[in-house]
This record gives sequence, C-alpha cells and structure tokens, in this order.
Amino acid sequence: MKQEVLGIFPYLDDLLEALAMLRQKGGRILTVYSPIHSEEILEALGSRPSPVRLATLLGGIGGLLGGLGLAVYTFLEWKFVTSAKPTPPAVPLVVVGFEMTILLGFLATLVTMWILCKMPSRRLRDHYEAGFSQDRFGLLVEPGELAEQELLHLLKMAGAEEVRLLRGRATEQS
Amino acid sequence: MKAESAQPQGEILTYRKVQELVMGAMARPGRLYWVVVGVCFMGLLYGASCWAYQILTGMGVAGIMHPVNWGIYLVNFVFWVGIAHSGTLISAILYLLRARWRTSIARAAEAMTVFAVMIAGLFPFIHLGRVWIFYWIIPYPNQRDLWPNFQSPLVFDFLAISTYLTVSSMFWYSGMLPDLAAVRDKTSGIRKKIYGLLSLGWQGTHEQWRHYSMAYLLFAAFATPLVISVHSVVSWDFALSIVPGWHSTIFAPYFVAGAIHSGLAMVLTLLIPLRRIFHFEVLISTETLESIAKTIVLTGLIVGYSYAVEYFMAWYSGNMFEWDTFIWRAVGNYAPQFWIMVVCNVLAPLLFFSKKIRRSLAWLFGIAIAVNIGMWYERFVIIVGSMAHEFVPYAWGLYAPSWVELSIMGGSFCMFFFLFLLFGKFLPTVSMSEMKEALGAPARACSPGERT
Repeated sequence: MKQEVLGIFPYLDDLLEALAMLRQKGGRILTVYSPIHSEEILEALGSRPSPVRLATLLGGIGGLLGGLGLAVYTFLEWKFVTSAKPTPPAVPLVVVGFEMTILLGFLATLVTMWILCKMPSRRLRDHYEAGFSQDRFGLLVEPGELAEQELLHLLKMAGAEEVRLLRGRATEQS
Repeated sequence: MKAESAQPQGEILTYRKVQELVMGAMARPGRLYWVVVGVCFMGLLYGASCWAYQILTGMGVAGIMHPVNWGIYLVNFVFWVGIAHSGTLISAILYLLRARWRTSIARAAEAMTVFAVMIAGLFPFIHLGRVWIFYWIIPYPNQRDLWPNFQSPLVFDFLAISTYLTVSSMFWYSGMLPDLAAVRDKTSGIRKKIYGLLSLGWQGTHEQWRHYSMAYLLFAAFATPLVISVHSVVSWDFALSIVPGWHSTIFAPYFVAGAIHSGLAMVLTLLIPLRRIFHFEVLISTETLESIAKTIVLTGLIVGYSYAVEYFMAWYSGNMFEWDTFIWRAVGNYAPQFWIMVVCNVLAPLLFFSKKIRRSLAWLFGIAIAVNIGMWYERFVIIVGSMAHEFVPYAWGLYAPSWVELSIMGGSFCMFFFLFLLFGKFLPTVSMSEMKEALGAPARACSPGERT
C-alpha cells in the first residue's frame, strides 16, 4: 500500500508555498482540502477549467430543441389554428424554447457537477478532518520522487501545523 | 428598535467568528420561537382548511364573479412571484456583477425566493376550482391526443414558474452544500446524520471546488435571464389580452421592475428582524441595508415612471376605453387603493434619498412594509380595477374579496413566515463559505508575530 502524508495548514500562503515546493521537487499532490473556493489553489495545482461547461452547453441545446420540438409537434398534431397566424406560430415558440433551454441546461449542469464531485457520498475519507470545512487547509500527498522524511520535513518547513503519515502503518502525528 | 443602527465598532471577523455567529443562530430555539412557529402553523392550517372548504363547496364561496373573474387569488399569485424576484436578483445577478454586499444576505434572499415561488405556485391551483385535474395543463401524451395550447400565456406561465421553482430551489440548495458540510462537522448525533445526508458528502477537495465554482457561476448565468423572463411571462397573462389597462407593451419591464421593488422591500422586512434576533450586526452591516435602500430608490423611480408612462400611453393612444379606465383608476371606486399604491411605491421610497433615513433601522423597516403593501395594491388595481371597468358600461361591476379568499391569503402569509422561521433556525442563514471567501484567506504574512 502506498504511503500518503497529510499536512494541515492554518494559512493559505503556507499551503501555496508547500504546493510550489512539492511540484518543484517531485512530490505527488493527491488532494487539497479548503474551507473556501480559492483560485490560487487551483492555479498552483495547474487545474484546467471544469468540464461542467460542456454539459451545460449540451443540456441547453437539448432543452432548446426539445422545447421547440414538443411545441411544434403539438401544433402539428392538434392542428390548432388561430386566425391570421401561421401553424406553428414562431413567436410563442420562443418562450417555450427559452424556458426549456434554461431548465435542461441547469439540470444538466447540476447532475454533471454532482457526478464530477462524486456526490452524493455517504462516507467521508478516513483522513478527512472537520477543520477542513471550518478554518484549516489540508494537503494530501504521496512522496513520489521525495524520500518520506524529506517530505515530512518539507511540509513542516512550509508551515504545516500538523503532519500525518497515512496508510501502511499507524498514523503518526508530529 | 433603535432609530440608528448600532454596528459594533472594531470587531474583527475571522473564519471562526463567522462560524460561531451563523451556527449560534442554529442553537436550540427558545419557547418564544416555538410559539411564533406554532401561530404561523395554525394560520397555515386555517388557510388550508378554507381552501378545502372551497373545494368541497364550490367556487361560489369566493367573491369572484362576472365581470371580475380574477380576484385576489391572482393578485396574490403576482404578488408572491414578485416577492420571489429579489432573491435571485441579489443572489445571481449581483453574484455575476461581483457586488460584495450581496454575500451576507444572499442566502436569506434565496430562501425567500424559494418559499415565495412555492406559495405563488399554489394560487393558480386555488383559483382553478377543480384542482384535482390540474395536470391537464401539463404537456403529456394522453388518450384523447389533447395537448396544451403553447400559444397561451397561461401555458407560458406554467413553464416559467415550474422552471423558476426548480432552478431557484436547486440554486439555493447547491449554494448551501459547503455550509451544510461545515454544520455536519460541528455537530453530533442525529443532527450530524441529517446534515451529513443533506451535505451529500461534501469534503471541500480542490476537485469539488473546481467543478462546484464553475457550476455555481453557470447557475447564476442561467438564473439571471430566467428571473427577467418569469415576471415578463406573468405580465403577458394580462398584456396579451385586450382588456383596457392590461393590453400594454410596457408590461414586461414594468412588472419586472415592480417585482424587484417588492422583493427588495421584503428582503428588508425579513432581514432587519433576523439581524437583530440572531445578532448578525457584524455580518449584515448597515451599509448592506443601505445598499438595498438605494436599490429600492432606483426601482421605485422606475415604477413611478411606468405609472406615468401608462397614463401617457392611454391619453396619447386616443383610445377612449383605455383613457377612461385610467381616469377611473384615479377617481373611481378603487381610487383609495390606487393612491395607496402611488404613495407607498413611489413617494415613500423617495425618503431613502436621505442618508439619515437610509441608515435608520426603524425607517428602513417602516418604508419596506409600506412598499410591500403598496405593491400588493398595485396588483389589485391592475387586475381587479381593469376587469371591473371594461368596455361596456352595462358590464361594469365591483368586486370585494370574500372571507374565504382573505383567509386563504392570510394562510399564505402564515405559510411564508412559517417556512422562513424554520429556515432561520435549522439551516445556515448566512453563507459561511462566501463570507469567509470575502474576508480573504488567512495568511501568515498578515499574522503578527508569526514565522518570518
């Protein structure tokens, strides 16, 4: 079983420093925990924009076509003719198409976000700390090219208030 | 309530402080809370029983009859949809505009939206009479090949309101996920289990934040045009008819401005007591309330302009029916309601030009209540006033709501406050994660006496 190390940081700038050093020295960053959304963390990790956007686009297009399709089909099927208006009339279709674009685009975004975030999930990870939702930042790493002791030293030097060795042996706190 | 707000000076907000304040509001409620909740619940039950009475007895128990076939059920429908507007405005539009003052009030405003749309959605069913066949309006394949008429503004309405309810409730819930996780991590026993289920296993990993923040931005982007469209669609329920006083091209922007006006007033009505009861003075600052008041001045001016333009259009069109309807509004049987509308919606908010009044909680609360009353009467004047005085004098008639209608309306207000009270005690009323984000992440560089 691979060794993992969890560092707990009270300050964001310390965490960012640790991330930069780890990337430079070849440590493998697995997860960063944060109580807030931080663009700085995502930038430090080199994260790309979320693919949720694609689902939004597809959902929106699907909603537009579905809404328009349903309304047009209804007009043709029912042959509801209003004098001086074409069947199907263009203007009312805009409202149906618009609302369905919003609805399906929104729902596609929501469902995709849940899937990508691996939610819903009943179990939290074993090493998860309550402080990660309050005022602490967490950094889960594998040594990668670093020696275990070197990694522990690096995290402490960066400002971690607590460093834990996980898996394969009893958790050690320092 | 003190005339001048008393925001604690020199109190420094930290992540811990935000957490303590918001979760402190979720502590075990006292007896008074349960008494108020109980009263609201009883009012809700009374309103529901009156609806049951109407279903069993027939629509005759309501005061609606020719020529006024749309009474206060529809007035309340438009009123509650309007109230629902500002939650999404504050939450989505101001989020996209990066207005920082929204952060502390967005959650409560979103909750207000969700509850108001739920209540608004009930009124067409109440007005429907035979509510058990409501599903006829839903487009679904059926044996008789009957489909709803997609040219009808009532079908537009069904689509718009159901979309708005879905989007606003999920937008509200999604925004709460990080906070529900924070509550889960600070509680124990059954509460931990419940908040654990509600938080869907949120852990705040960088991957979750990456997808969540993008999705939230897109939610806001969807909600913004939706909020504009919903009240436009509601306005077309009227504007697409030929009734004098309704058949107007300015109805969509006029209704949207009015909706935001009433919604902002309701936000103040809810936030001022909330802020005081939960000691949120540090989180919801006087500047935030002042910003809402400034926005009410803007919307009040737009509403006042719309009233004036309506009169101009009626006069300039040369349409005698239209002009007569508008003259009758100002001097006829419903003139008191009309002038309450003008004073409360247009003149009262002008007081907010005074900084002293904008910063006084008593004035803020009083004017907000006045705007709420004025906006309810606006819908009454538009809906009832127009139907009562259509084309043919033989068909003119007056309308007064029956006790059943008034009871159901009272029940709807009780339901709204009942839901909001439950929300205030059992869910985080202020977005902790966004407040923390607004404070800035803790940095050692800013922490005196720390490592160099």
